[in-house]
Amino acid sequence: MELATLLVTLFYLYGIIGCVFATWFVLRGVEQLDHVAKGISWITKLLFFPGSAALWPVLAWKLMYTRPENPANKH
Amino acid sequence: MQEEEFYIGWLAKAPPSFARRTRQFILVSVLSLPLVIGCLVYFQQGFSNGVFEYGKQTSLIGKFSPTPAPFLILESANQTNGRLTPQSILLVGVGKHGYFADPKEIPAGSKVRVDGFLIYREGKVALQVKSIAVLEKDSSVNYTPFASVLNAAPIRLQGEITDPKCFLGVMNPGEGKPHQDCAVRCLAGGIPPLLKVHDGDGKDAYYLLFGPNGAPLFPQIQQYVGSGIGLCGRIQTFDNWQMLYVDTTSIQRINKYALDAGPMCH
Amino acid sequence: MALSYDPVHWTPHKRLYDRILIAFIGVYLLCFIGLQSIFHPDCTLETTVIRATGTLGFFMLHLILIIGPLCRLDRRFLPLLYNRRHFGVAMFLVALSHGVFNLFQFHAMGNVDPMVSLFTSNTQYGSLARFPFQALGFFALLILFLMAATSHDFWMKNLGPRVWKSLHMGVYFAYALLVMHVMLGVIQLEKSPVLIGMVGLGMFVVIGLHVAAAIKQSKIDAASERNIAIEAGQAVPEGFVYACEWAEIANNKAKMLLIGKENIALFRYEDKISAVHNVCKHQNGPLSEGRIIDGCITCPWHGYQYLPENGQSPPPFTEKLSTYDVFVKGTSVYVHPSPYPEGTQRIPAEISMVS
Repeated sequence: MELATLLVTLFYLYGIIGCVFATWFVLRGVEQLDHVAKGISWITKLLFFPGSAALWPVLAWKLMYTRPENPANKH
Repeated sequence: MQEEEFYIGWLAKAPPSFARRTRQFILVSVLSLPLVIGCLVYFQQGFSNGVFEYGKQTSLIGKFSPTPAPFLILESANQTNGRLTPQSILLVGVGKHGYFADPKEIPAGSKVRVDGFLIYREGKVALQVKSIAVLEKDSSVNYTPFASVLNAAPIRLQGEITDPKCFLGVMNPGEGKPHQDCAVRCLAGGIPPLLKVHDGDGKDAYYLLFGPNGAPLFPQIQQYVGSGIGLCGRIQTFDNWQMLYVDTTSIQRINKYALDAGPMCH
Repeated sequence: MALSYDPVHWTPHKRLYDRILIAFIGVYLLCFIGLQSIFHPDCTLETTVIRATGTLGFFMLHLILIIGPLCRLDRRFLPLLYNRRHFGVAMFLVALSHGVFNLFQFHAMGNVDPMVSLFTSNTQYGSLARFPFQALGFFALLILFLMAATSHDFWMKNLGPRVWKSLHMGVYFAYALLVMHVMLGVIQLEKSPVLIGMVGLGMFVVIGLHVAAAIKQSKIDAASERNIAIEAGQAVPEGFVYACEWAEIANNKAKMLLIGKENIALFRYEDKISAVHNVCKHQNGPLSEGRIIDGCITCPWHGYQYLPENGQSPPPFTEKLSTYDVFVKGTSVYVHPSPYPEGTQRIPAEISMVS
């Protein structure tokens, strides 16, 4: 029971952090990660919310360790 | 070489052979619907006639008896406009909780008026308490609510443990594996366990379960909820209810509900 | 293509497909709830909704799972595959409503958090028959959620096609969990042989079609490898491997080659032959099953396009494929199986129609 309570608490915590991260991500972070996402519509950004909340460690890692794409360098 | 057709999703029209195959798939899926739904609905085993009058408030007056489980013993049998003629009604709380009363506020034997929602099935009635008002406090020290008889000799019973609140009508079905977790939650919330015994003639008997001294059986019985068990206990009958004071060492899992001798009860 | 992101790249097919999908879900739920109220009037509405959504989600999952192998067996089913994403998301939403109803019905308003209740009410994790089947449903729903949440092309690009595909292969694990969820759950109460038979039939169809598709694919792969093995001795310039006779490739079409670990698509067009990596950048679609349309290699799955001589998507798109050197001697085509960096221009080999 204690273990289950702990795991469920961690699960909630993960979800709450995910929601906070996702809010920032769809507003700002998404354009840093992927220049194609610049200027996309509200609804499209909203579609990215659940995935960003669920996969926030992956996105955070990508944002920290990949150089931001610079469209000017592209051919 | 004959030019084969090629499908690109962003073109307005699919080639005829692709469109045909797609239509065939959709047609088979849609035509299978009546068969699938028909079988799924028809081959369910059926449901009980239990009723939960949620949202339809009933007001009942009677004596309050807190042990071994909270009961309202009706003063006159016909307070429900002839729909039910129960003599004693099991009181339960909201959601997956039992009903608990502070003995200082509502002493045993007090005359009370209870408002709530009725739950009933096969002559057994429970009431989800919305509010309770004490009309007359009982001053006697040793109140014994029931003219009850405790059988001296323990007997052995086989059946399935569930919770009376759901089983009597809040949920339907309120038994079996799918309902197991809910029953555990209700018992954990303080609702006394109910043993459903199938006697083989199509009639069922129900027993509220308690420990040997009337103490709650949860959580010892948690693992036995929702599947067939056998146990020994002494029966106490009052009104339309039967209480079973269980010898907790005698509980064992059985494979079938069929009555067999089982180990002797002490 | 990934020029910009829209909520949905609407096409006439997708609109039609979505309308059929919504009608399908609506008709199912209405019929189920209607028939249930006729045959089982005592059943509570909550139970009816739980059973309607549960059975519908499971049924939809079967249909989704058979589309893939059907397309491998007969490519004319491809429009279904192309529009499958919305089917998957719709199935998740149906499954989610089943899960939420259950969590509320069986676990809420108790003495512990509903999620804690989900995992601790039944603790018989060591028993098969008494296993806590609702936990299985929860994990299956979690997988379906991850798939639905990452179904947009944005995720494919930013997770990478390989990771994305692996994540979405989780549907098979979810299916296995759900079969157990059904068999260890409601089937323990509803023991009708018809219902058990329906679960069995569903499994038979899903597994059977996958096996049939795998057998077909393995025959194609074996044939392709055999051709290369037989003719490998004829390799002319160093490093080049015999692929086929150019006449074996129809104009504006391709042949798939497996040389070592390289999966190559060999395209013939305008009396030229070019080789590119056979895997589409979008969803790993098999480019060799595509066509040259308007001078571009066109993926059979979602119509992504590439120029054959450099593997680049035509501007303004930015996807790029690896390219390979091709050599033609007489009627025979040879390929060098070491790839050039993605988007590298290679001169196509000319074929002489006179020979």
